[in-house]
Formats: sequence, C-alpha cells, structure tokens
Amino acid sequence: MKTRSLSLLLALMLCVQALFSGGLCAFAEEAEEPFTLPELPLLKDTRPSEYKETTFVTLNGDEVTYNRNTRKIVCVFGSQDVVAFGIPLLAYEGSTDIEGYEDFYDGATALMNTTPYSPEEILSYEPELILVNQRMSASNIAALSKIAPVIPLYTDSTDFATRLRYIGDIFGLQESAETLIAYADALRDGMTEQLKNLGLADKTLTIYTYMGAISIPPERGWFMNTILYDYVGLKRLPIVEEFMQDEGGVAYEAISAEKLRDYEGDMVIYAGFGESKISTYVSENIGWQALNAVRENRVGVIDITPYAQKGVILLEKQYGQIHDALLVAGQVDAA
Amino acid sequence: MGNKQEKRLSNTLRFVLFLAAGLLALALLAGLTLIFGATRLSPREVLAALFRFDAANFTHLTVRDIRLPRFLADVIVGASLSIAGAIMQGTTKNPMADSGIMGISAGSTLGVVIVLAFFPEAGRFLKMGISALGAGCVTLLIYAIAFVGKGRITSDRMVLSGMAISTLLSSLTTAIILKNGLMNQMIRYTSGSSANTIWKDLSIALPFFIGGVLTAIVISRSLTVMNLGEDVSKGLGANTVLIRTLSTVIVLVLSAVAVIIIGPVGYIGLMIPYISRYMVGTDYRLVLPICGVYGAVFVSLVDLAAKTVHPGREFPIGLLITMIGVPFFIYVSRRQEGEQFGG
Repeated sequence: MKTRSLSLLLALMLCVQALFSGGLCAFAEEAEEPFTLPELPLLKDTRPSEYKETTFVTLNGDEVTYNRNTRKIVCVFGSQDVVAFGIPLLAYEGSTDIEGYEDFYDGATALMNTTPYSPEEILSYEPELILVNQRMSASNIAALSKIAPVIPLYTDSTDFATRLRYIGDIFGLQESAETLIAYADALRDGMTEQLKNLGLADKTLTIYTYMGAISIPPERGWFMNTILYDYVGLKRLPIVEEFMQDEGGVAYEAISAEKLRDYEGDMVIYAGFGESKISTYVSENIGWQALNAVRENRVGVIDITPYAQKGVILLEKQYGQIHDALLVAGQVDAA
Repeated sequence: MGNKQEKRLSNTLRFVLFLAAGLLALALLAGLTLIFGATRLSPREVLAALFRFDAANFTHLTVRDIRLPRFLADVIVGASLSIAGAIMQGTTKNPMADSGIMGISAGSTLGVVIVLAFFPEAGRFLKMGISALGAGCVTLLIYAIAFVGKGRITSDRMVLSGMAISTLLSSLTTAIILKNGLMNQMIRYTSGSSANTIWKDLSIALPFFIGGVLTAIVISRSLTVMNLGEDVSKGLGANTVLIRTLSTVIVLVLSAVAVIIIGPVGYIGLMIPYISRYMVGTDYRLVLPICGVYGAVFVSLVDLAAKTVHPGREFPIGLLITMIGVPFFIYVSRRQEGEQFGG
C-alpha cells in the first residue's frame, strides 16, 4: 500500500515536472525566437518570348516604342531593381557590387564604362532596350537611342512602390512588382515593430564615419539614413540633423575631437567604408573614446558601402546590417 | 676685414634677438593654442589639466591629449619643413626649392594613397613607413635623373627633374584615387591637418625629427661653405659628396616626418627659409635654428587661425598655408629675376 502511494506520488511529481518544464520550454522558445527578416522572393521572368511592340511614356514624358518581351537589355543604371523581377540582362553598370547576388546576374557582364558610359561598348552587346539614369541628359539619351530604345529609371526616389511599379509597367510584370513592394514594406514594418518592441523607437541615433577624419555621413546619397530616419522613424539630435543637411558645407567635414560628444545620440553606429569594424584612427581618437557609447561598449558597426545604392535586392543585406548594429547600439541582447 | 667682422657680429646679434622673439612668440602661441579651440577654456583650467590631470575630466583630456599633441605636431611640422627647405635651397642654390615643389611630398602622398587603396586596415606605423619609403624613392629618382646625361648635377636640373617627377606621381596618385573611390579621403589628407594627432604619432616621429635636426645643426657650417659653390667648397677642403648625401638624407627624413603627420603641405619650406635669411644672413649656423623656430611659429599660428574659421569643425590648415604661400611664391620668383641667390 505504502509502495503504491509512493508510486502515485512519484507519478504525480513527474507529471507536474513534465507540465512545468514543457511550459518553460514553450516560454523559452517564444522568448528566444529571434526576429527574422523577411526573405527576398525569388521571382521568375514570366514574360512570353514572342515579340510584343509596346509604346511606353517614360518618367521624362517621352514616348518610347520597344519590344516589351526582349531579353536583350543593357542596364546602365538601376540593375538591382530590374534583376529582382527575374529579368535577365546582357550587361549591367560596372560600379555595382554584386557580391552575394551573383545568381541574379547570371550570364550578364559588367560594363567597363559606366560613368561616363561608352556608346561603343553598349553597342557591342547589340541590345534591344537600354535602361539609364533619370539624370541622363536629353542629348545623351538621343545618342543612345540610335543604338536601341532608351528608358530612364527613377534615380533619386526612395519610394519602392514608385520605382518597382514603374519597372513592372515597362515589362508588363505588375504582379511581380506588387510582390516586391510587399517584401520591401514587410521589411520596413518588421524592423519598425522590432524597434518598438525593444523600446528604441524614441531614441536618438548618430551615425559616425571616418573619411580621413571623424564625420557624419551626409543625408543625401546614403540609403541607411532613409531606412533609419525615414522608414523606421528613429530620431536624431538637432545638431546632427543640421550637420547632415548642410549641403552648402564640405562633405564629410571633420568634426573636432573636442566636439564629438555634442553629436552623440542615445545610440551610436559606426559606418566603416568597406569594413565592418572600427578603424584604429577612430578608436584611438580621444574625442571618440570619450563617447558614452564607446565607454559602455555599445557601438553598432555597419559597412556603409551597400547603402551607396538603392535596389530591392540589396534590402536584405542593408536591413540585416542595421538590425545587428541596432541590437548592439541599443544594448539589447539578440536572444 | 673689419666690415666683415662687424657684419657677422651684427648678424649674431640679430640672431639672438630674433631667436628670443621667436621663442617668446612660440611660448605665447602654446598658451593660446591650449586656451582656444572648439571651446574656449580658462587659463586656470589649462593649468589644472597640465599639473593636476584627472583622466575622468574631459576638459583635462582635451588639453593634454588633444590640444597639446596638436600643438607639438605643428611645431614639429613647421620646424621640419622649414629646415628641410633651407637645406634644399642651400644645396641646390635655388631659393624656390621646397620638398613640395621638388616632388618629395608627392612621393610621400603616393605612399599614403597606396596604403589607403590596397592596405586600408594598415596601422599608423605601416602608413608612415610606406609614406617615408615613397619620399625616399622619389629623392633617389630625382638624383638619378639629374645625374643622367652630360655634366654634373646642377641645381636647375634637380629642380626640373623634381617638378617632372612630382607631376608624374600626382597623375599616378589621381589615377589610384579615382580607380579606388578614395576622392573624399584623399581631399582631406592632401588638404593637411594636424587635428587628429595623438601622442603615438609624435612618439613615432620624434626620434626622426630630433635626429634630423641635430644632424642638420652639425653640418650647418659645411652647408654655409657649400653655399659658396662646389669648386670653392672643395678648395676649402669640404667633403662635398658626404655633405650632399647627408643633406639629402636630412631633407628626406624631415619632409617625410612632416608629411606623415600633417599631409603634403607646401610652401612652408619656401617661405620660412627666405624670411630667415632676410633676418640673419646666409650663415647656416644661424639660419637653421631661426628656420626651426619661425617655421614652428608659422604653422602654430596658422593652425590657431584654422581652428577659429568654423569652431567645432576642422578647417584644413594646408588650404590656409597655400593661400599665403602662392602669393609669396610669385613674389619670390619676381624678386629672383636679376638677383643672385645668397641673400
């Protein structure tokens, strides 16, 4: 009888333990589940192969007639958006770093000359369509039009919906455009939500960089500024905003080591050029060493180079770096 | 004979007076540099930072670890370039010789560009080493080109070969900058600034600076003799080959020291020796110390002015020096017409 009672007691304890540990495990799984960024949808070029003459009104207001289903495209600008549609290219702008995105550029050749471009080089690919920069002059567009129809793509717009719908319209791939726009939106919303959850949404952020001296990257031209301050909505100190928007001043003007602290926000990110670590010229700077973030070892680090270009295929890398940097800058444990 | 002795006495007296005035000005500038900067400090704060240093106090750090090394960098750069310029002008007998114009700075700059382009993660020591190596190669190249052909090395041939090499290296430097997208970084470097100097930079540069200056002072008498011309010097028993070689090494070391600290700043080595000769004559025993002190005064003064252009942000000192140097260069070149070098 006594043995039976003991057995029952043991069984009861095991059940309680199982329930308790199961609940804990479930809780731990929930707590440890890291934020995952949405993955770029891998789209296929669904256009038919037969010739389809189309007349399209470009963003400049010009009418261009071309074969919408052509696979013979030379992209002098904006290939990172175009290849996301699964559209194959004959050649793309040589200044593009395709490391990590080689599959999108399968069979395409990097142009030797992009700025300035070479009409002879473009002609050598015998293209049926040339995609160029929005800022390309009318005379240059006219010159290239002698080779093949020319369509300018949005250059300055950071609005993915505008840019991707435009490309979708050029090739009749509106559905693909919407898929990509949804992906870009999901990234932005996910990151914003993540920051809110971490309690960082109202924090100020300063991005320092080193360009022969410690400075702050100017607002224009660096897409991480758009992601962090416009999309995700992080704040910045008025002195930082003024510095970033000072377009009349010298780009990357050196900030005195004595004044670096004045620019420090609640969070600090260091943006290295081509490297994901802090330059010794920065780490040995006395003003830098006096930053609270440096003293408390919570400086997030990113490589600034992927942010020199805008393109939907780059978003994963761009957001990924920012995500990791903010976890450090916000002194938040990834788990 | 009596006149010569009187002139020498007069020059010595002028030397003492100008040296004392220069040292006084330098001391005054040291005080001003420590007080004025991105923020103005009181003399009491400066003294406290120097004599009752507290590492947790940012004002103390500013004085001791930002402003003081920066001032010393200005002193080293000013003295180095001025003494190097004086020696170059003496050995080439050309008052327009200068490490910038002769291409030595261009060699050093190319070295820095190579480091930035191909070894971006290199530390300060490697950057300084390759920069000095670039300066050394250019110096050898200048001599080699000037030596090739008929006749002996002449000052004109050296200056011309230096200018040609400078142009060639500048083109090469530009090509590397464009190819590797280093435009912004190099604009900042070539604009010249001592703002980011730290004690480590000075500890690397100081032994070379002291060695260069001491050697220059040791051979200063021989330099005065050399200034009389190659044949006269040989007649007086001077070992012209040894002096010329030592001079070249000193110029190379001092120019490289300056370039690696502040960047390729020109015209200091042109202006200060010219003014120094005006002050104390052509005796290099007097010229070199005056050059050293007034070079230091000049660069410190310009840097102090640069700090006040846009407080809190760094205005490149090299731009201000060039703005002063170019009119001076034109003035010297115009005065040189019909005048014999030698003061």
